Amino acid sequence: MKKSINIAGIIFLLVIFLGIVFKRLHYPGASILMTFGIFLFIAVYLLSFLIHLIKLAKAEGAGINKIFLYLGFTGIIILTFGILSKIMHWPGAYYGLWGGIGLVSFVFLMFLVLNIKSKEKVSMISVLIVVVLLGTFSFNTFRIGNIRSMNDAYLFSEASFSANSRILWKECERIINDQVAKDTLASNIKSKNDLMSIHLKVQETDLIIGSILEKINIAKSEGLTINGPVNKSNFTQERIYIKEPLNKSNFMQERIYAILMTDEGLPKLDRSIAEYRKLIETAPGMNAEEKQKLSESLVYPYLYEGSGLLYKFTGGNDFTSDLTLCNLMLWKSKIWEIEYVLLSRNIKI
Amino acid sequence: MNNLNESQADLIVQWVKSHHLTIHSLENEFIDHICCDVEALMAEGKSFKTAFNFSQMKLGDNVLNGLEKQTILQLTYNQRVMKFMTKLTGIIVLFSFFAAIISNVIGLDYWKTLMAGGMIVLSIGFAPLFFIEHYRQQETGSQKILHIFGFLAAFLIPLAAFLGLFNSPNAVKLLAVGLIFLVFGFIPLSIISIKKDTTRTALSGSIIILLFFVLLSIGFTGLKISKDRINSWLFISDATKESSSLLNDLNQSYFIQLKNDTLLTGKAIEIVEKSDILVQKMSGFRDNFIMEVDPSFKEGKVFFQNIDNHFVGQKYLINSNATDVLLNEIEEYKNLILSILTDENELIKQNIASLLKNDAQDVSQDLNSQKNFLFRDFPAITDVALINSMIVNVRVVEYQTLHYLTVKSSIKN
Repeated sequence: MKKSINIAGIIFLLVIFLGIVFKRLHYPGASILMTFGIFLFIAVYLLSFLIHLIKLAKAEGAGINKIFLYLGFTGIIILTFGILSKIMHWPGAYYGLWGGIGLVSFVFLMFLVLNIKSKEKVSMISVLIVVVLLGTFSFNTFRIGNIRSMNDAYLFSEASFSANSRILWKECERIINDQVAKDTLASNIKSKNDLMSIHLKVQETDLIIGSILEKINIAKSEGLTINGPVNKSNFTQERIYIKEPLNKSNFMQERIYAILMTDEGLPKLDRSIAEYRKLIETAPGMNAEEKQKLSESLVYPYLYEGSGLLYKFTGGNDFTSDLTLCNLMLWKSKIWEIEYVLLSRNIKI
Repeated sequence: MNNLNESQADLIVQWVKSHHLTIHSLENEFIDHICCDVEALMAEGKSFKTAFNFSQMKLGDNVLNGLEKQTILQLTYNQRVMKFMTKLTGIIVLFSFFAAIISNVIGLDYWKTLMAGGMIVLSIGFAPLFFIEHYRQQETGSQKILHIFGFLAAFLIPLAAFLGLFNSPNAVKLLAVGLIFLVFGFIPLSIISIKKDTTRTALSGSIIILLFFVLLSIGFTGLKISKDRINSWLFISDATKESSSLLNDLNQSYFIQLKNDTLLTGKAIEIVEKSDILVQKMSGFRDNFIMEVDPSFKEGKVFFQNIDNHFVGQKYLINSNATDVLLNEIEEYKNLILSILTDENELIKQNIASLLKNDAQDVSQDLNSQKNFLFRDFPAITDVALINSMIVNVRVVEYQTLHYLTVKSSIKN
């Protein structure tokens, strides 16, 4: 192995180190530094090291060791990308982590079993590489596994949004029935019609959200007993972006995805909210700036690029039923809040 | 006792060395033994020559070489046992780890036990055996220290992983200490000890790969929730803030209506005042928490430091007396509201009790249970969003009570 390759390896390590420091400090560019550092380390350094080891194995005439080397390095590369995906919250981390560590430990196991009589000296460094790999993998798996899920927090917030939306729905209905519908003054007919149109649109949007919520609640209760795979023909929309792989434990996630992404799900809700926003632009009793502000409050402020409707309405791609229910209830609360603001500007409450 | 002079001692040394023994320490032992024997015979009045000859005759020609052979056999046997034990523990570690991975993939629950078992065997079985085997072969002090650092890292890292299964607070500390021994002890000493020979670049390569995995592990163990989850909770937090503000406006309109009712005005004022004070305290509690988590936080900023930290809730909210005080005040507020509502409004009372309940259990739990339900293990932004949700709940309860009083007032009129 050439000295220049080792120097390049150290430079790549420095880039990865900077990436980790940037990530911890939430500085921009952390992802680029880490990803490039790891890619270059694998593509340049790790491959050169592999070639060097293969040459050594060839010189010693150890045929079986070459197979271990190929398999071991494949495992290490898969594991490295698994760790990178987990750090970057990319999809496929589960496969990378468990598949990679599985292959690496299998290769080491076979190496130990099949090389019992060999004179090969195992150095402290190679043992420490295995210890660091297995130790930190187990540590992190236990630690993440011990952290409580956020479902209780979603349920708590969902209850608040639910209570709030019920109150504002009742208030809007009361204002519409008691004041807007009864108002017969000719000068207010346009305003009255505009407010009635807005109210009808909010009712329609509320029904769409209610229908999605009902389907998810049914799926949630059924999910306790159903173990079969989800029928993929239910997917009417192109799969957008799901972080975790499809397996038994993610059955519920797939089922919710199927409910959300049919045309009756989020696409319909999105169209309805877009129409609501248009109606806000024509609403009476407000200046253009105020109307724009209200309309913008129906836009998700942190839209994750490329992830579409799913993210817009559920807020996270690694969604669960409780997360989805909470976020849909948030939207339900929001649409009534906005109508209440509009009505309170036009009617003396 | 007669002491041997230098030339006499040299003769004995020469004779022992003429046997060409390979174990140096054994050679010294023989010299020492023969010297003592000769000195004892000389003390009985024999000359050096007679005593040495007598001693040689006692031992015989092949005794020294024979004894060395026996010693070598014994040493090799011990080494073989140690090597076998090292490999056996290594196989147990890897087998349990591999079995744990397979169990996890096929969904069996005991994969954690298998993995933790592998880690404890790695820590207290494989690491010490491997270390002893290698430590004995080292001749220089620096190599011995290098191996001690390596052993400490190999012992502490899997032990930390094992303790991690039990959620031990010492697990992180042990892992950090293990990595410190590795990064600041083993790796620098390994680099220093690299000789300028043909194996130099290969050894440097191994150290670079070890460093690569250490860096990856540091990045991996610092894993927190994703940015999109943070954004999602920020959205929820903002939405709850807007909701509580709007509900406050709505409650004010009901309060104005109730001002016309002389009988109910007093109650309305009490409700509004108590609600406002409680909301103010909760807002202060939330802002204090953010300031404790990030002292450099300034109003108007969206993000704050440690926004994704899962453990600050334990430190600043669960372990804080201020949380106890606040939860007690919420309980007092609930009792006040329930006392205002008459018995015939059982449904409203149930709703109010449910909204101001800060626990998963149906029955009222102690403060610790409530604090753990609200704040344990959630990231800081989730804690903030939950406090905002609690504020919304207070405003909802205020609304329900004022609305009830307004209906009562209108029926009366």
